[in-house]
Order: sequence, then C-alpha cells, then structure tokens
Amino acid sequence: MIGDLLAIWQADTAFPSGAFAFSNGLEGLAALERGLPADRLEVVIEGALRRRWATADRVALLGAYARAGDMDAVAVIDREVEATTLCEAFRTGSRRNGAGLLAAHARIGTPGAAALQALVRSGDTPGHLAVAQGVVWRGAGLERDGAVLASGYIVASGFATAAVRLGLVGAVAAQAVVRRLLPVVAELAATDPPERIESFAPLLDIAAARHARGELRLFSN
Amino acid sequence: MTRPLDLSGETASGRHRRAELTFALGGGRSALVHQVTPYPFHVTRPFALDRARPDLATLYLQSASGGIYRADQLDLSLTVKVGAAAHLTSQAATVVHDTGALPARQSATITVGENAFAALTLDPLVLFPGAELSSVTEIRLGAGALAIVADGVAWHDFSGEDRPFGRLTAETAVYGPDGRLLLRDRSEVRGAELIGERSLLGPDAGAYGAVWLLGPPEKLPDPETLEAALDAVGVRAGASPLPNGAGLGLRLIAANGGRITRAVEAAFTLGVEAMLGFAPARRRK
Repeated sequence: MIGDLLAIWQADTAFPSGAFAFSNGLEGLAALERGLPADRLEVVIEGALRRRWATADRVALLGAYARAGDMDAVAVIDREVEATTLCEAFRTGSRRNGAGLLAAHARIGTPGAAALQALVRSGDTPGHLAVAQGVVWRGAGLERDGAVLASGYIVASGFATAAVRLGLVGAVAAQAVVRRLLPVVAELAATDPPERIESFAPLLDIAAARHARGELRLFSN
Repeated sequence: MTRPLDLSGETASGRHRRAELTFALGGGRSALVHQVTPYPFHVTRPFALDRARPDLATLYLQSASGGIYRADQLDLSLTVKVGAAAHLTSQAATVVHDTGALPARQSATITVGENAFAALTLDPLVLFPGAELSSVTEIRLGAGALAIVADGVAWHDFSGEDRPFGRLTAETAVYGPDGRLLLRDRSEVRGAELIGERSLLGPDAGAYGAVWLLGPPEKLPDPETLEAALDAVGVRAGASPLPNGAGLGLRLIAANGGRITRAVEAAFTLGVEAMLGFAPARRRK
C-alpha cells in the first residue's frame, strides 16, 4: 500500500519540482497551429506518450532506477539522454526539471539525491529529469511499476495543465482528456521498453525550437 | 536461349551490396580515389559545379534497380579525407516497395577527415504500402570537419486508398574526433501512425525529414534564417542547436516529398554559405 501512496506523492503537482514552468512544446504548437482544440490536444498528448515518453523517458527512468546505487552507470544513462534529446529547449527543460527534483529530494534526505546532485553540480553529468526520477524514486521507496506510472501520469497531466494555463481548453475538458489517456499510460507502462532510447516527435520538436526564440512566452518550452 | 534480366521486385530482392566512395585532396581538387559501386548502386563522375570552390566534388548517386525491395541490405560508405570536399546527392526519390515479411535495410557511413567537408543530401525515400525499412546513418567527424546530412521520407499509395507503409526504424548517430557520441536520433514509427486526422505529424502531412548541419557555431547558418527559407517553400521547420556542440538540427514536415527536396536544397545552400563562404550552384535534378 505504501508503494502506491509514494507514487501518488511524487505524481502530485504540489511536489516542488519546477515542472510547472514547462509546456513540453505545447505552447509552441498552439502558436504554430493558431489554437489546439481538445480532440487535437488529445492526439498530441497520446502521440507524445506513445512515441516519446514510453520509448525515451521511460527507458531512461527504468535504467536509472535499476542502477540507482551505481552513479557511474547512472551518468552513462544521463549522457545518453543528453545525446538523444536533440531539441535544445527540451534538453534545457529536462535538466532544469531534474535539478528541481534533486534539490527537493536532497532537502528531504532521500537516499541517492545528494550524491546525484553533487555529480550534476560538478558538471560530471547533466542531471536529466527521467534519470533523476529513477534515482530518487528508488531511494524514496517507490516500486518500479509505481515509478513508471507516476512518470507517465506526470507527462499526461503536465500537458493538460499547460493547455489550461494557455487557455486552450477548460479545466474540466482537460481532465476529460487525462481520463481518456489513463488507459494509454497503463497500456504503455505494461509493455517492454525498447533496449535503447528512441523518440519520434517531429511536430513538438519543431514547435519547441521555434517557440524557444519567441519573445512572448508563458512557458520555458 | 538467354533469358532477359528480370529486375522485378521478386527477383531483384534480397540483395546485400556495399558501395564505397573515397575522396582525397590532390592537385587542387577532391579526387575520387576509391570507388566500389556494385549493382544496384550507380554514380555519375564527379562534377566541379562551383566556380568559387572547384575543389568541391559533386556526385549523383542513382539507383539502377527501381528501388529497394524485400530483404535488401544496401550499405554506402562515403569517406572524405583530410581537407577534401565532396557532395553526394541524387536526381530522384528512391521507392521502397512492399517488403512483405522480409524488411529491407540500408546504411550510410560517412567519415569526414580533418578540416574536410562532406554533404549527403539524397532525395526522400518514398515508402509504398507494406514497406518496412531499417535505416542507419553513422557520421564520424575529424577535427575541424564540417558536414551536411539530410534524410527524408514520404509515403504514397498508388491505389489511392491511403494504405500505410509498414514500419520505419531510423537512426542517425554522430561521433566527434575523439570517438565520443555527440548525438543519436533513433526512432521507430508505423505508417498507420502518420495517416489521417490522428497523424503524429498533423493531418496534412505527407512527408518528413531532418537536416544535420554539423560544425562549430561560427560555421552554422542562423536558425531563424533557415526557418524562414523553409517557410517560403511550404515546409514546417524548426532549427535547434544540437547536443554536445555538434551543430544545428533541422526537423521538417511537409505535404509531400517534393517539398522536402526543396527544403533540403535550401538548407544545403544556406549551410554551404555559412560553412564554406560561397553560394553553391544549383544541383540540377
């Protein structure tokens, strides 16, 4: 039971990880497409879950979770995330989110958090979010499956929250989208991850790259 | 009686062929010093198309067989030695036919020597219904090396029924002078995910691609200028600095492969201007 509660604790947007500053390309996409109706929003989030979260973020998370006691191995995974995150706005966002999560857990005293934070601060590893999640969630006592579900939920919920803040959909419509995507997260969480990180999200990459140079922005990416 | 050579999909399939092209600087030009181009590969002779840089050799790569068939494995090695400059391009798109239960594979290995320049800008692949392909591109950069590498994919159902291609697995990896991985772009997508209203690329997309402009920041075009040039040819594009200082990456989405071709031409022109300091002549198709 405590495993489920720990996953809920980490998926809760009240946890101070700094993720609220990022739209994961949604703000740029809304600008590119001059709006984004709820049905299109759902397609975009589902695509990001299937072809980015499940095949990239989840792979890094699981790798770091499995090797949480070996910081050299964690750093190898972290550098792989750096090399495979081709859009600068997503790289920067992922590192900043990772730093935020590590800072919170270091203060809480979660095992592994301070050690990884020290490596990041020394410049030995970039400290990407999925890698930080793998290490600190293992240290905090989350079970493997709970960690994967929390990670997937945060992605779906993060998109929906950003859509509300951007005025693309109302709060209730956004939650209807999240509800419809929960089975997708559950389905993907139960599949075997690819052996190596892979990602297919050209539309979000384009939107985020263009958005990164915009002068009027609500979100960092 | 001699039977005519049958190059249909059934009999031309399952080939494992490797082409090798090596350029080296000599006598003020980039000479093709090593060439192995077994069927179905075919290349023209090198052309010096640019008055400003007669040492830049341009070659057209052609497929002599009408495309890629089931179980094919076609490998290409392009080596540009120290200080040399070479551009390998094509005159038309390559069709990937229905591969049935036997997916096709292709690879390109590009080795760019110290202070050399290499460009590989082939027309997009056109994936037919049922086509399944794995494509791997590996780029190894020497110190001071510059490179422009483009890839693109379009899909087409000749029956007009919007039947999707099977699956595309693609990987591009770039390594620096010390052998360290600078970037890896690996993806897998099914054709059905790119058709109709729920397409991952948006409902109007019929093609996508990428251009990798590899080199130090002072040798790269301005991202906004690139995007504006591609807007002008009707292509959605986003340019971003690549990880580990590898250069600039450009993602492309378009209504069809023809627009991807024009976008790659525009990116090549701007890339050469920034990297080599002159406007290249148009590579005629």
